[in-house]
Amino acid sequence: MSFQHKHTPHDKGKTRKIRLQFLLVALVLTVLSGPARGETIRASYLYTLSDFYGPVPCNWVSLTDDAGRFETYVADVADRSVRVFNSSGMEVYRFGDDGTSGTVSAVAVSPQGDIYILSRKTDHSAITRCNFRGEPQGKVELKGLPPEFARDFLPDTILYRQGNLYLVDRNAMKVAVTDLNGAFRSGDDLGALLGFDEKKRRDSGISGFSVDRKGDYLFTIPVFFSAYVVSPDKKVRIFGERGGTPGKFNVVGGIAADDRGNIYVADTLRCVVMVFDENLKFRTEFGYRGLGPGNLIAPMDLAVNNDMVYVSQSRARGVSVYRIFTD
Amino acid sequence: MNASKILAAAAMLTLAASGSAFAFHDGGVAYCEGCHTMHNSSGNQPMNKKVAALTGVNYLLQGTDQSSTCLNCHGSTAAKAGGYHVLTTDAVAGGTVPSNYTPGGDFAWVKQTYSWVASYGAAGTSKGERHGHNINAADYSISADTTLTSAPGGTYPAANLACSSCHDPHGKYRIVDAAGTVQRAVVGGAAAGTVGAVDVNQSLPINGSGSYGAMPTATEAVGVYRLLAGPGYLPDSLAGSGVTAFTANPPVAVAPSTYNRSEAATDTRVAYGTGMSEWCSNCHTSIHNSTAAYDAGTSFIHPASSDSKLGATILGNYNAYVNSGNFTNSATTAYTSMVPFEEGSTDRAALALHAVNDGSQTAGADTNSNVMCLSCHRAHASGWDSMTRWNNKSEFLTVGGAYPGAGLSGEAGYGELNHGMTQAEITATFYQRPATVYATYQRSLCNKCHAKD
Repeated sequence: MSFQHKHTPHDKGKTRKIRLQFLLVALVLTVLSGPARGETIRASYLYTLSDFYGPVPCNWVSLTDDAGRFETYVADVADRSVRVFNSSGMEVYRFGDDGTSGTVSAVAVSPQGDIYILSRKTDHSAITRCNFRGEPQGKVELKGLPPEFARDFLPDTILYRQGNLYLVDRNAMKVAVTDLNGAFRSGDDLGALLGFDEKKRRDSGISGFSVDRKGDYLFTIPVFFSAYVVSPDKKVRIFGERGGTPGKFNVVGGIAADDRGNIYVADTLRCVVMVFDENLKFRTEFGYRGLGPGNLIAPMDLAVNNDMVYVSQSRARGVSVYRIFTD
Repeated sequence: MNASKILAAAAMLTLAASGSAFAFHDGGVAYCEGCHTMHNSSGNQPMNKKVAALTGVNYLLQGTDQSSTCLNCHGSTAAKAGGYHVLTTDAVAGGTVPSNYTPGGDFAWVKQTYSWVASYGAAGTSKGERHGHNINAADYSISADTTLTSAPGGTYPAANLACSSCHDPHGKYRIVDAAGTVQRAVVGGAAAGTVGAVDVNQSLPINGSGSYGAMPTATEAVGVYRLLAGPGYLPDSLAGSGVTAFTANPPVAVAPSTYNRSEAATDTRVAYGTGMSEWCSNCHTSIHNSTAAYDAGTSFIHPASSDSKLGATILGNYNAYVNSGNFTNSATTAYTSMVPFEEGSTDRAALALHAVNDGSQTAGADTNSNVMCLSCHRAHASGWDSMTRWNNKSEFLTVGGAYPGAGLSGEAGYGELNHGMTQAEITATFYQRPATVYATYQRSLCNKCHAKD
């Protein structure tokens, strides 16, 4: 005995719904897997991060994205401030410029809204957990650091990813991963991973650093005209070819990735931000030296928040914001 | 992954060890595309938006100007200070300190203006432009000196001062033998004989830096110290201006390979050989004075020259001086990089033995030693007026065993002693040396040679 199913109008609707869901999943997968071959990526300048007096004229500030709230944090060592900008690029809050936070080097933001401030002096650094108003809630003491991190480790960069704090000493080329209370979880000596001796490490150092959605480290070493992608299982991919034409590296700075896997690399000398796909193939670049809207002067740090790219630069040009389109 | 290289960490060892790609200059001209653009075009977009693509810019540079082009690489935030950086981009008076401790100094000081009120009520100011060479770098907010519009003692215009005023960006000068002979290969060089023997039709190719003691071989030369320019050099921006080309050779000197560092524990000793003052006089001509001229009574300017040997009295002072009131030092331990001297030598191999940062070379001066411009000044910039290494405008460098500083209580907070600088900034001018290396009330370091304290 067998049962044969007869299609009813309800079934047809259900089938359509399943097809629709399938198409939707396929569409999402396509989008997440990066631009298809032949797709064009382009950037459109939107604005410069501003307060109610106009564009904020800062130089080479440190950028942090808070994707969940679509906010951008700007740490400016020069005036010791941390500024928070909303999704329209307007400053909504500022703290630290009264000197209470010391000289802020970088900040990280957790989904819970805690702000982790990394402040640095000549021979030591400190992490302070602050509430949403930037009010100190307590020190985060690093605990359980192995000997190779207990000395010669002076982090100047901090990131939050997946419940972890990433602390980076770009000169020493070391990364320590801790929990939110500062307990050591893992660490990487990127200089050793790349086979650098002490002198080469000192003479090179990392410029841009970030962690993508897969947990890969992304970083640049300008004196080698190269960018690096290091996967959690320590596979190293290198890209970059020195030169002054599109897609080539002269003096590379910040690096960041979007959720599609595209990698953005700032070139301080060429005054562009280059876009590479997840296969490290050059796709496009934008900015170019100049004083007009959308131009860049010595771009350095980058942050990516959904389809928005934030670029810090020199000459008191502040932070320029671009939207990325895939046609 | 056709466009990328996936390499296991083990394979990286081989790759990374195979070359020294960080030597961008390699003692001579770097790769052209590193600084220039042929058509002002990148992807058919103008690289310098001041002019259209395909029309070109001055000197075909990618940067806004000469110095900005250099500082795109040689500038950094305080967090990334060190190595080859010579400008702390985020330093601000009263806040983040200039954090590069190269022997030449951090150009950020020329942007730091300080004001103070003395304990007796008088106001004082130390303008940033007084602190160093104001290299015009629009992208980094360094502009021409508004007071000294031409080089003191010379005619070099401040409006044209750039990194390339002193450093030959193309690094054409080279050392071709163990004796330190300098040559510049130019077309028609020997016939033209621009300024003597350095210009030749044929020389050796440069294969590495000459700043760290590497020696030339029979087939390859090394660059000169810090790519400094030599006889016949005049930047294109000054062609036809009436400013005369350099006449003096680049100085002979050797630096330790790690030179941008705190000197809290040990000095960074650059082994200066000879010729620094003569080289400075390429631009500061009338300021330069030899001992011979001084002794002859023809020019009463402090001698600074290769013939300005320290002499028995000064030599004795230098080697005995510890700090104010303490003259118990010895010739084996008397050196300080706060008051360096030239060894009076062209022997780069011997100099290289002295160029260290580990404190192993502490010997003081000897009868060959001479005073030079850099005995008192930093080449790039310092925290003090006239780019001197220490404050020459106050009685005391330390107060009660500590550096003074704005905001401190008591004498240490006196404006006439701290000149408006925080204690952290003053410590930075001493390259992080603890104040305890000096007397509790230390007087000017002129006394290292003159012992009047």
